[in-house]
Amino acid sequence: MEYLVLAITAILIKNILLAEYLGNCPFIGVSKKMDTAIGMGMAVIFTIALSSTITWAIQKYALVPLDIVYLQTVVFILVIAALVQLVEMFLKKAAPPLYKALGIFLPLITTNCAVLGIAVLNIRRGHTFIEMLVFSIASAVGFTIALILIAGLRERFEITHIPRPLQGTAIGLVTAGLMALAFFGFAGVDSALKALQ
Amino acid sequence: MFTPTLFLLGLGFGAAIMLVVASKVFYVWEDPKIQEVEESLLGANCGGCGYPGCSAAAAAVVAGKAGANVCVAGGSEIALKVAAVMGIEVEVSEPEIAYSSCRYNLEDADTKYVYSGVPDCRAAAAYGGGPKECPIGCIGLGTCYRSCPFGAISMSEYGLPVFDRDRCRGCGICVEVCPKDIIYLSSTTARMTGDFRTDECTTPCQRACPTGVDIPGYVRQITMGNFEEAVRIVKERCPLPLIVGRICPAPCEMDCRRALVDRSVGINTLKRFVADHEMKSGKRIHPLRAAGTGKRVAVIGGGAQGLTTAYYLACLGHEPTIYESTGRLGGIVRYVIPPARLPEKVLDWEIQGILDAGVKAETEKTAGRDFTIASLLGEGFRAVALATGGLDGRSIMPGGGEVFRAVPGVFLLVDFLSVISKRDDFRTGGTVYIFGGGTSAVEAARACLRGGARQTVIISPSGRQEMIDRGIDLDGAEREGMRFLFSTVICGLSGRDESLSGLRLIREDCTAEDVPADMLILSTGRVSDLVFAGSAGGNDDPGSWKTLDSYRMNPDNRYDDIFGLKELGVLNDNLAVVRSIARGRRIARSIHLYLGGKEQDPPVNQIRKGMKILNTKDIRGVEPARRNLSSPGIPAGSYSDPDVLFGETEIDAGLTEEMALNEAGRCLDCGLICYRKSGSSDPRGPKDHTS
Repeated sequence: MEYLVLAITAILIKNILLAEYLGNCPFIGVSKKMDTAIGMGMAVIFTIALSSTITWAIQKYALVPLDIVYLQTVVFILVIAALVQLVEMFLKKAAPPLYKALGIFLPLITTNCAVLGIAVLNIRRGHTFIEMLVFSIASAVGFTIALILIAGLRERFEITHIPRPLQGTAIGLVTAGLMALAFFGFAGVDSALKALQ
Repeated sequence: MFTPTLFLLGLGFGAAIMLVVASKVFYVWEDPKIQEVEESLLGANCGGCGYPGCSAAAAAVVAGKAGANVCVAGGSEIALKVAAVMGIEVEVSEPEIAYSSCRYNLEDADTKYVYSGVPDCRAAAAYGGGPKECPIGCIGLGTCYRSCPFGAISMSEYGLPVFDRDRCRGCGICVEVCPKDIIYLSSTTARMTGDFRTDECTTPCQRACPTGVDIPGYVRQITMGNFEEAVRIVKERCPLPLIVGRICPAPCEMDCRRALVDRSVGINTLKRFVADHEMKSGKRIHPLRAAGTGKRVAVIGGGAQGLTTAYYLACLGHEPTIYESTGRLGGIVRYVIPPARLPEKVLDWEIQGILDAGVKAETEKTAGRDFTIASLLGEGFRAVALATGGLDGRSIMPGGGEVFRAVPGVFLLVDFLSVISKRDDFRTGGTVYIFGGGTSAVEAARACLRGGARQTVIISPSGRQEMIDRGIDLDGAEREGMRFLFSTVICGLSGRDESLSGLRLIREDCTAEDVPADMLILSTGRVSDLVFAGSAGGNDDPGSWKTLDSYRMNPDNRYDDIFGLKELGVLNDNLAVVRSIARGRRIARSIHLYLGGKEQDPPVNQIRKGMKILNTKDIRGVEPARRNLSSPGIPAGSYSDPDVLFGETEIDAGLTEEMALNEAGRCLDCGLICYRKSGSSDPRGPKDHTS
C-alpha cells in the first residue's frame, strides 16, 4: 500500500514533467508524433530504472563511505552517460529489434535531466532500495503518460487553426502549462490516500 | 584532496575501459557500403521509397532488397550514384507522378451537407467521409497542397489539386496524407500495364471497354483541340485505333450515360477521327519509349493480339519479334474485314506504326515447322508468348499426317484420334492427361492405355454428374484404369527442351497443384495466351521452361471469361478485335513483370466483369444535343459501287473536324456519379495528369 501511494504520487500528483518540471526538452522535442512519443517513453522507463539503481548503489557504497557526496552531480552524469552508451551497444548486439525501436532516443536520454533528476531525488528523499525502484519506474511511467498525452494533442494541432506566431513550440509550451494546471487537480489525493492508510 | 581526484579518475577510467571492452564484445559488423550509399541518397528522409528514412533505404540496397533506383524522389541521378557505389546495374524506370482522378469540385458534384469546419480534408473526412456524395470525391481543402515538400501541387480556381509534372518527384507524401485515398502515383507504364480499380473514378464507358481506354480523357482532349494528345491517351491502352475506330462494335457506347438523355456519344467514331488525324499528319505518336532493356521476347502470331503484345513490349523497352505463319501481318483483321470497311492501306499504315515502335517481324514462319518454343528459348529469347488467337494449329495445317506440335508434348484430340493413335507403331509411356469432358476424351484415354500409358487422367472443367448426364459410363471407364479430375482447369505447363514434364492445375477449391505429366491431349485447340519462360530452374538448369501464371489468376473468378481462369483447351473469347487487344496488352504486362523479376500478382482491387460499381441512371439538367455522325458525300447502300466494293473508297468517310468537336462536346465528362450539367461552372474540368 505504501508503495502504491508512492507510485500514484510519482505518476499523477508529483508528475516528473508537469509538477517537477524536469525533462521538458524531450517533452516539447519528441511529442509531435504518437509513435515517437511511445518509443521515447519506453526508452526512458528502461534507462531510468537502470540508471537509478546504479547511481543509488554508487551513492550508498562509494560516495558516502568516501565522504565525497559533493561530487554527486558530476559522478551521476558520468555514470549515466557511460551507462546509456553501454546499453546502446548491448541492445545493438543482443536485441536488434529493441535497438531499432528505441533507436535514436537512447543517446537523447543521455542528456535528459529527468534521468539525473530522479537519481538525485532518490538520494535526497532517502529512499530504500525498493522505494527507489518503485519511485524511479513510476516517475518514468508518469513521464511516458504525459508525453503520450501531449503527443495526442499535438497531432491534432496539425489540422487546427493556430495563429501563426503561436505555431510550433509556442503552442506546445502553452499546452504543457495547461496540462500542468490540469494535473494540479490531483494535488491532495496523496494525503487522502495516506489518510486511508 | 586525493580521494576525490583519484575516485573521479578511477571512475572515468573504469567507465572508459568498460566501454572499450563492450565495444569489442558487442561489436556488430556493419557494411561500410551502407554509409556510402546513404551519403549518395537525397537525405530528405521523406519515406517515399517505403523505408523509414534514408539509412533504412541504404541498408535495404546493400542487403539487396532494393534496387539502385530505391530513391524515388532523387530520380535517375541518385540512382546512378547509388549504382556506382554498389557496382550494380541501374534499372531505369519511368518516374511515377502523382495525380488525382477526381474532376468535380464541390459546386458541381452532389453533396450531402455544407462543411464549414476546420479547413483540412482530414477533418472534413471525419464527418461521414466528407461533404460529397461520392465516396471517392476530392474534398478540395488542399491538405495535399500543404503537404507537398516539393511545391508541386497547387489548388485550381475550381478548388481541385493540380499536379505539376515537372516538380513532382513521386515521393507519395500526398498519397499518404489524402484521407480519401484518391491520389495515386502513376506513369504511362503503370497505365499501360494496369487495369481499372474499384477505388478509382471510372465511367460506365471505360468499364464497358474491354481494353479500358481512358475515354473521357481523350474526348476531353478532342474538345480542347489536342488531337495528338488524344491519340497518345488512346494508345496507352489500344495501339490499333485506326482498325478499332472502324470495326469496333463499341460496347462503350452501349453504356454511355448520354444515351439516357438523347443518344450516346460517338465514342468510337471520335477515336477513328483522331487516329485518321494522326495518319493524315504522317507523324507517328507513341505514348512511351522506355529505356531499352535489351531483353528479347518472341511473340507467335501476327494478328491484333500479337501486334498488341509486341507493341507494348517495345514501348516498355523490350525487344519483341513477331513470328507469323502467313506472309503478312494483321491476322483475321486482314483476311476477314472487307476493304470497304477497312482499306488495306489503312491497315498497312497501322501495322507499319507498330513495327516503327521497335517491333521486328518474321513472316512465313510456322510454329512446329520452322521453329519450336524450345528452339526460340534456346536462341536467347527470354520469353515466348503464344498469341495465336482464334487460329489453332489444326486449321492452318490441313492435310493428313501433319499434327499440331507447336507446344512440346501437347496434342489436339482430333489429331490424336485421327492420326497418331491410328499409327501402327503408336506407343506412349508415362502419364497422359486429357483435357475435355466428352466421349472422345474417353476414347483417347482408352487408346493411350492400349498404347502403354502408365497412367491416364481425364481432366474435366465440369463436374461428375454433368459427365454422367452426357452419357459417359464413368464407372466403366474407371474400371478400365482411367482416372478423372472434375471441376479442374489447367493453367500452366512446364517442361524441358522438346518434352512436357508437368502441368499446373487449379482444383475446385481454387488451389493450384503441380503434377508431373508426359503428354497432354486437348479436346479443343486453343493454347493462346500462354507465355513460356526459359530456364525455369534458374541459370543452372538450361533447357527447362515453364509457363507464367496467368494475368487472369484470380481465385474468385475461376471461370470468368475475361479475368478468370479459362486457359488451355477452352475456346477463346476474342469475339471482337478489342477483346484480342485487351488480352494482348495483359500478356505484355505478364511478360513485363516477369522480365523485371516481379511477381505475377493480380492487380489489387481490379474491376472485373459483373462487379457492382457505384453508378447513376438519374440524369438531370442536361440539355439534349443532336448527334451527327453521318459523313457527307457517301450515299447509303453504296456497297454496289465497285470502287467501294474493292476498297478504293471507304464506306464511311469519318468525321470532319467540326463534326468531331461538336460530337466531343456532347460528352458528359462523367465520373462515378458525377456528370457535367448544362451550364456548369467548369464545362471541361481542370487539366488533369494527361494534359
